[in-house]
Amino acid sequence: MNSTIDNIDKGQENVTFEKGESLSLLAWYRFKKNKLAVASSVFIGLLILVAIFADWVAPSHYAAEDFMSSYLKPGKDFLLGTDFLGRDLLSRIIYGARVSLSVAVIGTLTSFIVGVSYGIVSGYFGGKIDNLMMRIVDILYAVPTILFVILIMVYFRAGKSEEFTGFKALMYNLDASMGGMLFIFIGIGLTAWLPLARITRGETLAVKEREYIEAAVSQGIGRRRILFKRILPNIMGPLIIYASVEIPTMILYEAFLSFIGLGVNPPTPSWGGMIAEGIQGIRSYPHLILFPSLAMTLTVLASNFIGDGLRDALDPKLKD
Amino acid sequence: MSVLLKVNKIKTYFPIRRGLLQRVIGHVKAVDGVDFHLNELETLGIVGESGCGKSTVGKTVLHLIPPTEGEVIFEGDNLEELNEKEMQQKRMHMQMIFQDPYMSLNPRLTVREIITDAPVYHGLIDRKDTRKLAMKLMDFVGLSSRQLNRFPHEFSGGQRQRICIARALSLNPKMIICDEAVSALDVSIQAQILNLFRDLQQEFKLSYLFISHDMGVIRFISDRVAVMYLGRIVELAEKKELFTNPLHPYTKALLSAIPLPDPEQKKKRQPLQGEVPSPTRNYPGCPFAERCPMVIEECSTTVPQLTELGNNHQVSCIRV
Amino acid sequence: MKQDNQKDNLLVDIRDLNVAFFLRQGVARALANLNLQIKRGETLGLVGESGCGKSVTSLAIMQLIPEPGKIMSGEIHFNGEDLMKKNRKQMRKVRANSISMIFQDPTSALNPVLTIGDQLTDTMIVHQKMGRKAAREKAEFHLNEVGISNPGRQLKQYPHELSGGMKQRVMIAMALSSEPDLLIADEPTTALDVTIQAQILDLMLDLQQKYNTAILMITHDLGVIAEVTDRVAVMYAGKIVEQTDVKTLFKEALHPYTNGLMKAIPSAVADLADHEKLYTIPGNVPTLLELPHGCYFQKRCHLVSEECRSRHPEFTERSAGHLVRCFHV
Repeated sequence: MNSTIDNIDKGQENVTFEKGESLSLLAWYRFKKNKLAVASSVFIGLLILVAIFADWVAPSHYAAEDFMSSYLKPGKDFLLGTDFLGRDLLSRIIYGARVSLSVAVIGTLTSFIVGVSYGIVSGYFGGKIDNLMMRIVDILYAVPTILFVILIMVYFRAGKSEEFTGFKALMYNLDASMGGMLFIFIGIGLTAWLPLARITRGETLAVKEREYIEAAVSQGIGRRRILFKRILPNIMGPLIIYASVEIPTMILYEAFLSFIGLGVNPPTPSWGGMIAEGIQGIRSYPHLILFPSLAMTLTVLASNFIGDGLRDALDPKLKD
Repeated sequence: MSVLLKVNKIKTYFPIRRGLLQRVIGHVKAVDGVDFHLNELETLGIVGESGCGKSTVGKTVLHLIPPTEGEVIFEGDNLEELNEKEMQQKRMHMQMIFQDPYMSLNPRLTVREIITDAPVYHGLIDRKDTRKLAMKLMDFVGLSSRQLNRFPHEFSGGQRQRICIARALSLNPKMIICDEAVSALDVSIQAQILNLFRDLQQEFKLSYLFISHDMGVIRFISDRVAVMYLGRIVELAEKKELFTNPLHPYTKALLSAIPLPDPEQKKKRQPLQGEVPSPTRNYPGCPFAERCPMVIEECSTTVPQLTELGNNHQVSCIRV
Repeated sequence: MKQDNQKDNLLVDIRDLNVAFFLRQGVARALANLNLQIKRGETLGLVGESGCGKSVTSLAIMQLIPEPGKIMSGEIHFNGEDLMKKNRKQMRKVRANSISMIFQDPTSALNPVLTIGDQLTDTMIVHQKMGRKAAREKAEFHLNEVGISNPGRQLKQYPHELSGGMKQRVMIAMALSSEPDLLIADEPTTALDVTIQAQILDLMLDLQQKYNTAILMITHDLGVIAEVTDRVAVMYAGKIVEQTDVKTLFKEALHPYTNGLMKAIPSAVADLADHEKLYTIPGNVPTLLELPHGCYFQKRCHLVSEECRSRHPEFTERSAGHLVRCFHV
């Protein structure tokens, strides 16, 4: 036998190897150059820290009421003023960040995992499997999400909670223990992964045809390894770009549900809920609506900038 | 000399589907009854214009695309009858090198991973030996082994093709199918790679199925040559015989169409009229009939068969 | 250039042209002090490997150097006018009327959502102020001229309905419809099959005769060069290393790079002796970012000496019209 592999020891030992620059590293260089995206990342990073350590950072608890000082304008004692129950607005905004960010993070993460696994399987196996899986996606797309979420919320939350039994009680308690976020997650879970599944499928179909995948097949490498080690890393770029663009949508989605009163349970604060509360006094106490709106706008804006930065970094073809 | 690969009457058809129900309305007959064998240590050149099915022949031999009809026998085993595990084992002995070294290397892997992933996967070497194997193979193909941790995008076209060759060699193959393996390279680099292919053939006891549209390349590398037109072999002979005594009118036209690097010989050729017709049509007679300068009435009704004319020279034409 | 009538005969005169690309990794000098002349009605071949600057030269003539590239200095005279001094609008007029270009890939050069007819008549209507009907007739005439037998039908078709060879014919018809003085053909047959390539090359030569158009033929294929050009310039790393008429080039090329290129091509008409190897030029095509001091070819050259490493060889005339950039030949 001839051999590549016998007497492998021939190779010299003391060599200094040149360092390679991976595509991810190059993407990171490009991202770093985008000042706005870097500043936005710092902002979101701080926001996350603030949300996690809200108990220490916030001046008071979000539900601490003080009837003597309701509707205060921003001032020395209360930096951003107080609401109609005399609760510190700054503290409520800080705690509100928890809701917005956890919806953004958990929503994106779950939809990412579900959508990507679904799409990659559909795209890789193709044929009848693909056809069936994509028709299911089409059907789910047709469900009017908001209406559906409103319906289940009305169903599970209406009535006297003490009288609930079985599944309804379980769902009610679960929702209550999550501060009313369960149904928001269900709503997001139902639809947010769908576009990701489609994109993943499309990217998989494209990458599957690449010659380096054919080369892997012709080297006798098994399916699972090809799927996860060869295809997945090559489609991550566009998927990350898409997921990052989805984040602001999710924040706004939660705000919308809270605004119409179907979000988290009071007194848990959420930016959307605070805007809804503030709207009654919009003329006399504009700060009640101004500050939560500002918090939300900045967060959404920052996530958009990060999304743009990621797109330019991961897909250089679009720019230079 | 013993036969390594035997291809019996393979046909590879791609269905054309239309409409909502994806009904099959016809076939692209990429390969339409091809017969040949490849001896050990031999190079068989397959030459033809785009769309003649030469690349599909390569992929069908590897069962990257299974044949619609006919059989591929490699090392005495009919590939059709192997199960997935056996096929993976078999594939180690038949490797492929593609035209585009940019597309055929996974951009996310380092050279070391590209070269050694498959041997590790198949258990030919231990994970801790990957560096030595990679260094050794890089040495063989003329790359600096110091560049082992670099990524494909950090190399030039010729160097990438060398990486592809190292990857193919890593599994101790018996046969390498080269699909336009030097076509994308600059002239000065092409010569280097062609010489490398020759050297490696001796060193590693390889057989090549060398697919190319370039007559010069084919003449340099091959022992025997098959000329394809519209999914069929129209002529097959020893290299010298084919180039000095071409019999099929298509082979003649192909040879006379090549622009020669000799300005004194300007304008002696008679280019073939018309273009290659669609491979979706059914031909009651010879597929070359409508462009053939030697056509007679019988050509449109009789399908010519590849016939041996002695001297190992096979031609598929009723006029010779 | 001593006599006046020779000067009139000059269509393109490029003087000391420098083009650089500003990349993340550094500055790439794509063209360094390039001098090139094209006479009326002649075919000049520009040969070289990828990255040698042959395509950049054509884009510089068109004043279409893409970002992040820039023409740093030099003059490009076309019909006696300096193209560098023209503004956008004037340049557009030159491109519409006097210089045409055809590319390697006709598929991406044609707009997929417009019919062949629309694309052919568009420039005529806009730049030559023709009526729709007259433009159509002219388009049919030109399609007929490039060997398309049923131009009326072809005009209504979309690019994807045509084969590669047909698309290239359409591109040529489009390029010649303005009866330009200069046709730049950038690897026009590289993507085509040999039998189709032969047809297209013949067609280009026929039309050149008819319109007396000068052709700048950019290719890496020495066979194509031998077949269609009158004079040839060989480029390496942004410089012309050898320039002469085509017969001299193939008979007595002087520069070691030109010689190497010719010997490196595997021949389709002759066999090497058994086990004889192809001649190779060692090393890789250089990247323009890390060019050596002195002659750019030194690292791959078998004639290299101390002098080559210390200074750059001048472009000198060895016999009438035969210029070479090398100390040792």
